[in-house]
Amino acid sequence: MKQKKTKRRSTFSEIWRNYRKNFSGMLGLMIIVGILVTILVGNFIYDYDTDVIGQNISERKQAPSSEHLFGTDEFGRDILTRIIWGGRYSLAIGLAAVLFSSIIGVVLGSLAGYYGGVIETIIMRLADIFQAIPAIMLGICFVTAFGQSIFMLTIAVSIGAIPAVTRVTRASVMTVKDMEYVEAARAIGANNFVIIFRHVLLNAMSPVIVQATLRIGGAIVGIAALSFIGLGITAPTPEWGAMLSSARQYLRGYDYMALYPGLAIMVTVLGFNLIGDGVRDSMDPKLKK
Amino acid sequence: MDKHEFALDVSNLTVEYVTSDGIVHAVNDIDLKIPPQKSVGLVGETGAGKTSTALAIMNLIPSPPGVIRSGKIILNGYDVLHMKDSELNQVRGSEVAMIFQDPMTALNPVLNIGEQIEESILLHEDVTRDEAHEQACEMLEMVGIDRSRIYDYPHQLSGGMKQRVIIAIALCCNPHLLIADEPTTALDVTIQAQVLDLISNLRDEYRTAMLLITHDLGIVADMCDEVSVMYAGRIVEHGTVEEVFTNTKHPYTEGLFDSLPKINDRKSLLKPIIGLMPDPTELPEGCTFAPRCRYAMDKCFKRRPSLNAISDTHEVSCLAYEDPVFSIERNKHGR
Amino acid sequence: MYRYFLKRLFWLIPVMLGVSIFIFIIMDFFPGDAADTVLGEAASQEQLEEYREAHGLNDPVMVRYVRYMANLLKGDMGISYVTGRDVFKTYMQRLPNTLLLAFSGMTLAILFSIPIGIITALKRGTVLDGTLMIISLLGLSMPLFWLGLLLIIGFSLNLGWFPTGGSGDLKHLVLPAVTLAVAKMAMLARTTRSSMLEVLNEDYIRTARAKGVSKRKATLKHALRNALIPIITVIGIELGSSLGGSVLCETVFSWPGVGRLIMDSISKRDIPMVTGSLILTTMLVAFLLLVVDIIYAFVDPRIKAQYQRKK
Repeated sequence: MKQKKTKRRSTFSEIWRNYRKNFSGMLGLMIIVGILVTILVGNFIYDYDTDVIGQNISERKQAPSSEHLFGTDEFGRDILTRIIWGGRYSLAIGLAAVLFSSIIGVVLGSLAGYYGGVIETIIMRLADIFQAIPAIMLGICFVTAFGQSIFMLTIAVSIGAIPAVTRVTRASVMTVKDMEYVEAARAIGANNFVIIFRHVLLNAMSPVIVQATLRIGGAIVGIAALSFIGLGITAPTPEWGAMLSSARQYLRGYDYMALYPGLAIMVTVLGFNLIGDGVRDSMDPKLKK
Repeated sequence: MDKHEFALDVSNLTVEYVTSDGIVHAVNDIDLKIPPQKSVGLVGETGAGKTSTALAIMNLIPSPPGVIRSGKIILNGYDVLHMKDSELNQVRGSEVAMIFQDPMTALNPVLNIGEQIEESILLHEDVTRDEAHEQACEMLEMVGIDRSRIYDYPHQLSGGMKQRVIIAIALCCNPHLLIADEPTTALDVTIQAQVLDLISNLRDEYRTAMLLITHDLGIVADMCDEVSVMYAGRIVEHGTVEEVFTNTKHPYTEGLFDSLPKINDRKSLLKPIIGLMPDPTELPEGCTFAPRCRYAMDKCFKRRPSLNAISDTHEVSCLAYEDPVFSIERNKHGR
Repeated sequence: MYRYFLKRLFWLIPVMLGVSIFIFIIMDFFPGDAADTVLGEAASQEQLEEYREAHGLNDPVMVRYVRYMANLLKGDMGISYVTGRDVFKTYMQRLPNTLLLAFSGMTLAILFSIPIGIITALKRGTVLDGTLMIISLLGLSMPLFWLGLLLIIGFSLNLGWFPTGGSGDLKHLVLPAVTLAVAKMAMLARTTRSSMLEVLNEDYIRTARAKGVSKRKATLKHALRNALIPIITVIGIELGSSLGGSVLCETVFSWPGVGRLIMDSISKRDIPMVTGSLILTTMLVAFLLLVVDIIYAFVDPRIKAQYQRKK
């Protein structure tokens, strides 16, 4: 048991050692840490009721200036403040959605991959069905049917990714499950549950983790997209996609309103994409050149 | 056409690979000459620099990371290292052709074998498509594959057949020099002999010179006129097959013979060469074989030996022969 | 091989059945129903109940589903609650717009991204490679709807070259197609690059070069065809996502395609329209992916052989 633990830690530190050498990966990490710190600090500086949603008609639609770096919106609210506050929704829902789809997908995928037979058939056919429906349509219908609460939004964003995670996990588990150390575990009488989670999953996880990091960016765009078409987080809450949606009416003459929220999405997604690339490169030694 | 003294004349060739872990000294200052129509074996362990030598002759060292640091390669009169790409493309395939180690991956999986043979013919000979196709069919029959299989894809052929196709590609434009890089290593033992026979028959027919790269001394004895033994990027012994086999000089060559099973003395133990080849990024200062050599003296670790002639055709690179009475074990017992 | 594809085609039937059941169930959770939509807010409780009873809306989900599927097999997808027009006809009227947008965006993306991918693979590690890869990463990180807004600001409002939205002549198509293309381009260029890098290291490229094949021809003839499988996969997936995900681009540019039709119908609770459109769109995407599978066999003889064996 003790040995197992040290072994695991050393794989982790091995990956971290590779990752640290990866320039773009470290850049991505710095971007995301920077964003997180900004959001955290913003939480203490700004007050939701006055600074974030409080209207100030006298300062409406002001172009960027030293006082309002990103300008103000149609209700006179500082856009920079709203972007910083809005980051929490994108990050929280984005990360939660990936976590959710990963957990469900990994459980289904490992059941299908390990047991095969009827269980596999049922799970994989369900995956076929869910994968056939375009992900964004699935999200839209889900939100319309079950409401726009944060919890439902998270599920709506993640639901389309579950079949893909299931497939990756199943494939990975199937390659690992016939390895000798699994045979050995079976031979000494470990039960299926222990075998799946201790021996198979731990060794089959790397493609799943790589996929998950690469999907965070997509999930953040997903929540912004839902808000953009009016089905996500709604006004006056300052979600980035929702801000873009309301800025659409003021493109003529007030284009800065549409500029910065989008930039915020792009930088965040870029950060996560860089991290995802870095994780992939440092977990897959074959790709190192 | 064959007016040149040598089919291949390599001098002072040095090849390095520049990697993040350091500079790999793959080939270090070697000379290699092949007279027209003769066959020279290049023998050594994996990693001795044999394949790098072969690729350098084609000027196909992957770059980056590979660099041909110095040297001169004259291939039937063509100065390979100082030619334009377009001229090189004319030389490759027609003057010199190569057979690769792993037939499984050496053929393009999405083109049928006919296309792959014809491509070479069309590149180097002034023929129509139909003529090229006909030549390809003949070539296929020459290597022992029925012409009806010309439209087959590589995945439909066995390993031995693939190697036959590769031989067909190599010889279809009648090159002056054939480089065979471990042509049978990846094949079943029973197929190996067939493929070697095929190469040797076709070589006689086409009067092609050959550089045969192998780690198998038995193949060298069968197929070659001369042999160069390579160790850690250097040639340590060169001579006719007769000389090197019966009058072995270099301790490394001796080690190679000792690690072979002896057919008439089955009880004798195999004597492997102790140790490993040196790390090619940090070659030792003196003789590169000294750390594994049972005759090594102090000077061997300090001074690097050069190739010295023993006879007109026999050369060895070993400091021990500075002592005129020195002899390796193998020669003491009178064979 | 044909039999294999027929089999695949038949396999679509249970998948589509599952899809339709799922869509039907989720529609059941939509707030409001036909009675609310058709009769409006002024209707009394008795009137609503009467309408529901008359149209079978009070039947259990599965009964309504079977009734719907029975009609569907007769070619009847129902009538829109809002406009009173036939669902299938309305969908088919909008579909050409969506197809036009998706295919022109994809064509644009392919035209640019595959050469970019090949060049960056050949020039790996150079400044050109680095720059193009950074640009493609930015493109990949940019939300499509924001890019659309930026293009509108730049090319419609400031320069006045193109209209801000709507459809009609070619000018209307340019901005939405470019928006769609940029997002796909980033993905495709990266796939092409990594796929080419893998293939360029293969032994058969060396064999070709040893025959005297020029670097250019070895890249375009020998390498590209082998690198094509993952590229085609991504093209298929991206084309599918631009059909299924057309709603975003169509919303930004008020493009009258299927995506907007679905969005409008959802906001108006036009359930037959939503159900029908979703089923048709899903079928379209599934069929498209099947076509991609067929293309594989033409590119790679090994895949063809596999299919033949599976017969």
